[in-house]
Order: sequence, then C-alpha cells, then structure tokens
Amino acid sequence: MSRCIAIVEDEASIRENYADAFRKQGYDVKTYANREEAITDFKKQLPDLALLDIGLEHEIDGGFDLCRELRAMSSTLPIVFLTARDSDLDTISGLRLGADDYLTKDISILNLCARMSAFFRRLDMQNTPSDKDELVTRGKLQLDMNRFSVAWNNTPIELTLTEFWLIHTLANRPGHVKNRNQLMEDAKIFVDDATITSHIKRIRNKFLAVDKEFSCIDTVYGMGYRWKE
Amino acid sequence: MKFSFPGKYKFALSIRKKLMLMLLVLLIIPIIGYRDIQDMELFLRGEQENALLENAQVVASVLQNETDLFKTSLENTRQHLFIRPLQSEIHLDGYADDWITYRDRLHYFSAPESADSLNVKFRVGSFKRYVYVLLQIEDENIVYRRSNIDTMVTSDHLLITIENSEREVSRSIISTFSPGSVSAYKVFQKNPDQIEYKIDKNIKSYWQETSKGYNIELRLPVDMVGNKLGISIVDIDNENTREIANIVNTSGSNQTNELSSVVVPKPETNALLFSLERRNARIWVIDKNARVIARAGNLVEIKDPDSEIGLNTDESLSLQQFMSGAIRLMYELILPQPSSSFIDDLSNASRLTGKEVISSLSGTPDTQWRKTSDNRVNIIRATYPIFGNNEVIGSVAVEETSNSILILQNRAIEILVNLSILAFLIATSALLLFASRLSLRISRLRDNTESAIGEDGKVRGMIKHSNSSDEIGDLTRSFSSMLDRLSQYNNYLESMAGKLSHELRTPITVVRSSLDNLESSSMKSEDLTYVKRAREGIDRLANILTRMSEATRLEQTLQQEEKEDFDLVEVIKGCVNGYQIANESTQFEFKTENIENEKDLRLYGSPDLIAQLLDKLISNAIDFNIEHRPIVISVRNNDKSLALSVCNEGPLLPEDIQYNLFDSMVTMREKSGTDPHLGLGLYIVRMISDFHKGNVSAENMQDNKGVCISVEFPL
Repeated sequence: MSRCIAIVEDEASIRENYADAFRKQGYDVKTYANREEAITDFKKQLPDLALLDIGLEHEIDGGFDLCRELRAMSSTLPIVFLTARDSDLDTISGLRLGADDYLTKDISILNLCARMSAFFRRLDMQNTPSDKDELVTRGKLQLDMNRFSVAWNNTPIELTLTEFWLIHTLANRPGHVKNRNQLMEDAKIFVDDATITSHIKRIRNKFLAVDKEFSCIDTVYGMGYRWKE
Repeated sequence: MKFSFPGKYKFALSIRKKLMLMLLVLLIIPIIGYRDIQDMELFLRGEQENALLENAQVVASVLQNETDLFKTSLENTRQHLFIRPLQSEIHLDGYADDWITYRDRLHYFSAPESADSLNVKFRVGSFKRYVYVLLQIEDENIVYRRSNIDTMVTSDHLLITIENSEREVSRSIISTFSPGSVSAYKVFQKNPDQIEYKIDKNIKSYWQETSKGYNIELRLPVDMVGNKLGISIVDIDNENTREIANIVNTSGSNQTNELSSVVVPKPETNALLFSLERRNARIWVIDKNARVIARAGNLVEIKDPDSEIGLNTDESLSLQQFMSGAIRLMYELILPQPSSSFIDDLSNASRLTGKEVISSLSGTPDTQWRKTSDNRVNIIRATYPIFGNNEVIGSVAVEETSNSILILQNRAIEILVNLSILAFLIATSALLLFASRLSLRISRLRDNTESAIGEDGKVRGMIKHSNSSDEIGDLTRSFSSMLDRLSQYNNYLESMAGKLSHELRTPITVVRSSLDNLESSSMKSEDLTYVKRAREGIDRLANILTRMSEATRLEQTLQQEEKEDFDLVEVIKGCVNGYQIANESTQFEFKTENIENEKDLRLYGSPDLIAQLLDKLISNAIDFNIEHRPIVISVRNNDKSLALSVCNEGPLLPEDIQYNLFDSMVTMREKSGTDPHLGLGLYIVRMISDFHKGNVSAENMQDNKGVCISVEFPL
C-alpha cells in the first residue's frame, strides 16, 4: 500500500508540481486548496503525511488552524509546514502547534522528497521494534539514525528532522568546524545564514532544557559551528 | 550636523523685534494728541476772548451809568496823566527812597534845544486825599533866591498850573532861598504888571539837593487837582543875569501854560471796578481820547513772598517726592511755563493805543492778542465801547495773560505724555509677552521638527499634537501629520524589500518546482542545458530575495533576541580568523588599541549579531578593497565605549551619500557585479548597532586612501 501525502496549498501550480513529484516517487497524493476542503476530507480519512501551507486563500493563518485540528486528530501523523513565510515567529508558532518540521519554499523538490521518505522511514521504525539499531554515540549524546531520535544523557530530546540532521552533521565529526553552507546541505534545506543561527539556537535551548551545563555546540564566529566534547 | 536654516541666526529681526517695531505705530497717539491740544489752544483762546469780551461788556454797561467819570476830560490834550494810587504815605523829605517801588512810573522830560542840559525825572502818585509828586532835576547850576532882592521868578523855581473842573486856572510857584521845606505861593495876576503872591498852604514841598542837581517832593490835595495839571521847571543858570535858561513842562512842552489832562481815580470808581474785577485780569477805563480814566486789577497775582518758603523745610525728600519733582522739573524744562515776571509795557500808561482801542472807540467791540516786549507772555485785550447820549464816551479794556491757557495746555500735554507713556508701556509689555510666547512656541516647534527627523533623514520621533487652535497649533498639527505620513512612508520603504521578497517567493517556487519536475523527467540533453540556465537564473533571483528579506528577518530576530555578556574582542578575533580562511586572496589585520585586559571589556548584547554585523562590514570592505591591500579591523577602548572599525583602501565616500549610507536600499556601488547589491548590508549594520545602542559612522581615512566604517558601542 502506497503512502498517502496530503498537500494543502492554495497556489495551484506549486500544488500540482509537488503532487506530480510525489506521485513520481510512488506516493498517493491528495491536494486541497483550502482548509475547509482539507478538514472535511481528513475527517473521513487521515493521510499518512500532511504538507501544509500557512496562508490558505482568505485565511492568513489557515495552515496553523489546520495543523492544530490535525494534531488533535492524531498525535503521530507527521505534519510539515511548507511555506513562503520564513520568519522566526512563524517557525516557532508552527513547531509549537506540533508540526514535525517547518520548511520554506526555497527547498528543492529533491530535498523535499528526501525528507518525506525520512519521515516515512521514521514512522516505519516506530511501528516496528528495532532489531538492528543504527546508533551514533558521542559522549552523552545518542543519535538513532533510523528513528531520527536524539537522547542526551539517556533523556530523549524532541528534535525536528532539520534539527536532527544538523546535530548529526556536527556530532559526526566532533571538533570539526562546519560552516553554514555545509550545514544547510546536510540538513537538506536552503535558507539564509540567520536561519541556521536560529536553528542552532533552538537546538541549544532544547539541550539546555535537559542539561543546564550543555555546551557542546560551539560557535566559531566567522566560520560556523562545531561539536565540542 | 544640525539641520538649520542657513539664515536662521542671520535674521537680525526676530518676530519679537518686528512686533516691537510695530509699536512705533503707537506714536500716532501723541501726534494726534498734540494736534488736538493745538486745536484746543485755538479753542481756548477763542473762549478766553469771548469771556473777556463779555467781561468788558459787563463793565461797560455798569459804567454807562457813571457818566460823571467821562465828563471831566472832554477836552483833548497832548499829554494825559493818570495818577495811580500809592501803597503808602510818602514822607516829604526830597529823597527818592519812598518811590523805589514805583520805578515804573518814571516820566522823563528834558529841554532839548539847550546847551545846558535840563533833565527831569517825574513821578506822581496818590495816597488817600493827596497827590504826591517827585521831581528829580539834573541841573549843574542851582540858582536860589537871594534874600529880598529878587522876585520869585529870578531863581530856579517850579510853576504849578492847575485847571479845576470849573475850568478856572490857578498857578502856584515854588521858589526858595535854600534847600529844605519850601512853601508854595499862589500867584494872583491882578493886571499885567502887578503880580501878587500868597502863601498856598495846601501845597507842601521839600527841596533837596543831590549830587546831580536837586529833588523836589510835592504834596497836593486831591481836590485841588482838577482836570488839568502842568508843572513847569524853570531853570536859571546864570547867577548874575538871572535869565531863564530852560523850561520843562510835565505836559511835554516847554511852555508853562500848557497843561496835561489829569485823572485821579476816585475811590468810588475803584470800588466799583474792584467789584467787577476778574482774577488776574486788568480793567482799564478810557475816555474817547483813549486816555486812562480808571484802572483796576493786576495781570499777575501778587504773590506773598512768605508762602514759598515753607516748601523746603523738609530736607529729606522721599523717593516718590523726588521722582515727581524730577518729572515736574523735566516738564518745566520742556514745556513753556506761564511766566509771572515779564515787562508790563502799560504799567505806567496813561493812554491806550492799539487797533482794538480805536475800534471800540468808534463803537465796535474787539479783541486783540499781543506779546509783551520781552516775548514771555501773550496778553489779550478785549475792548467794549461805553455809550452815553448815543455816542461813544469811552471804552472799557479788559486784559488778561495767556497763562491760564498755557497752564491748561501744559496740563493737557503732561496728561497726554503720561498716557502715551503708559499706553506704550502696557502695549510694549503685552506685545513683548505675546511675541515671546509666539517665538517660544515657534522655536519649540522648530526644535521638535528638527529633532523629529534625524541627521540621516529618518523620522526619529513624533511632534506632540497641539491643542491650540491658532495657526501655530495648526502648523504643529500639519507638521505632525506630515511626519506621520513620512514615517509611514519610511516604514513602507524599509519593509518593502521584505514584502517584495515574500510576494516573489511564490512565483519563484512555481518556477523552481516546475524545473525540478522537468529535470526528473526524461529530457533531451540540449533541453537540459536550458533547464540548467533557467535554474541558474531562478537561483540568483532567490538569492536576491533572501538578501532582501534579511533585514526584515533581522528586525524580527531583534525583537526576540536576548542579550548576554560577551567578550567582544574574542568574538571579533574568531571572526577575523574565519574570514582569513574563507578569503585567501585578501589579507586581514586585527589590532587593538588601548586594551590591556581583554576580559574586562565585556559587551552586553548578542555575539551572533555582532558577528553578523562584522560579516556585513567585512563583505562591504572586501567589495571595495584594492587587491593585495590588507583590510584593517581594529577595536579601540575609548574608556566609556568600544569602537570597532573596519578600514579598507579603495574609493572614497561620495559626498552626497554619507548620511544615508546606512539606510535601506542605499548603495554607493557604481557598477553591478555578479552578486546582487541592494544596499542592505550597511543597513543591517546600523540595525544591529542600534540594537546595541551603538553609533555607526563612515568616514574617509585621514590620508584619503580609503574608507573606515566604525561602530561605537557604549560600555
């Protein structure tokens, strides 16, 4: 059975372009232009993954409302925002509402597809008990490469896919300075430098919430970041 | 730089001064007032003329019943003698002491056609029942009678001729052997040859020798003096021949038989006139030959000399007294003062002249102004004819000085000047207050307007809305709304890049996702080239958009950014190291000034943002740097601030761009390179600097080789 991806996007060209790309990948795609249509259909049948735009036709924050309703319907359904709105405020709002990831439309379809498959892989692994875990351990840090989950000092830390990939890139080669472009590449996103800075900041805060002493992500001003053990 | 009008301080005339100049308009008040006072003078003169004329008329109508007065002197004579009363009795001693106060009564007579001079000074006056006469005779050679040898007339003698009201003429002679009290002898001429002398007890005289000649004082009963009087002084110089050398007659001739008409005012007449007298006026009654018959009143009040002494007893003057005294003195100096001392031409007149006298004697009342001979006082005379039996028998002349007008006029001028000064003061202070308030409001508005827009042309603050309903309030409001609109427009401009990038992102996504799809489908290789080119183009567009939205994103970041303590020097050092690695072709130099212990120089802010700021400065410097020249990054400790500056050698700053270099969408790049330049880099520098309460400035290096951009952070 093929996975079903729901795209809620008011811009028809973009919607259909994404839909076509996903279909080529073998996904079932359902497209909606506004919140009402989408929610009516979701009540009948939930998709396996929802890709939401924030501004939907006349509703400026329609995507956020939709996300809230969807999250209420299912706690596990991967919800990804794909929007032109790139402000930190929107990003934070989206993630707070329970979205699994917040992507800007700069992302290429290739990267988008890679993400989709990553989400589905994570879903699969969550459903089936892991027999052969792919774990990366760096001191107190533990990365589960299949489930895309992170634990610090054995405490799980909720990270988005982008954040996971960022941590992974840094922790993979401790002490090695990764500049922003490398980080973007590995995290399969295309954003500006400031967005990377805010991503790193968010990651740090999540670790700090668990461990106040956390200081492994080191800023090398003018160059990038590195994992310090 | 302060935005100020170039001429702001050059305008010598502020509003305040202009309004003060406008005050000169108030000068109209005294000018008009003065004209008015002049009119008033004319009016008052007219009034005075009328009043005097009325007075004259009243006197005339009263005197009309006193026809006796005029009977006495119907006959015209060459000389008329109006005998004025004396104030006290004259002691007959031949000395002039008693007459000192009657200096103005002097009549001079002299014998004109003789070698030996004979000058006579003649004074006459009446007291109670007597007429007194003083004759001061200058005679080089006094010839007295020789005892029993001579007749009365062969020595220096006086011949007194009197014509009484019945027209009977009588003569008396005064001749003496020696000075002293002399008796008069009445002359009876029985026939041409025989002359008889009888002692006349009525006439008393005293002969006194003086250095120049001799004095004779006479006393005659008033009753004795009739209508005419003539006193002849007969001078005999030769002791031997005893011939008459000169004769001087008080009637002006040198004939002993010529008489002058005489009037001695009767007490009844005086009392009558006294009752009709005006204050400070003089009444004359003249007969139809203009000869004075009666006179009453004085032109000036005869002051009691004691009354003025009392004023100066209080030695210590109060300030108020002093001030009012000073003001009074000032006015007295400026304004013509009524004068009480002037030469009265008519004090001794026995006959009145003037056209008004002639006019009244011909039956028409008239008035006339004249000046005294010393020009100090104007005198007005009103004349009114007196009729008897349908013909003019005389006239009344009433005289008054213009002093009363002058006093009124001066008083009016003083009031006018005082009021003008008061009005001027009130208007000045009111206008000054008003002008000050006005210019205060305007300069406050100017200051507000100036400070509302910063040096860089950005709207810094708003002008407080004024509630005042006048034009300045209106101006304030329109400035305020103008600034509102300007700031809205500025905001719009600043957010335009962000909005634009947001709007453009959707179509770019459409293109990009389409290209993605196109690439994944099977394509010919040549088609792929075009897709690749299209992708390059769209990537560049996306890049532009990302840069454009950077400022907007930064703004949002700044709102949430938490500040921390960090070591500025360390952050910058790290950054510089990074730049060196990233840009191998360019050399970076880092230096610190006046920094001994780096750890002490901690800045409160965001190191990430500082790094971003430095990124922009460096990228800007690299763009303009001359190849192979180092870019100098320095941190200087200025005690209370840290100055970070990035200097590169290269083109200098254009003059016109210096102040808004740090604004959105302003660039000084002349040619476009491959990378898009939107002039947002230095705008971001300013935003971050503002976040740290820093101050950005750009200036050419001192040697004009390049440009330094500095950010000064307060510590």
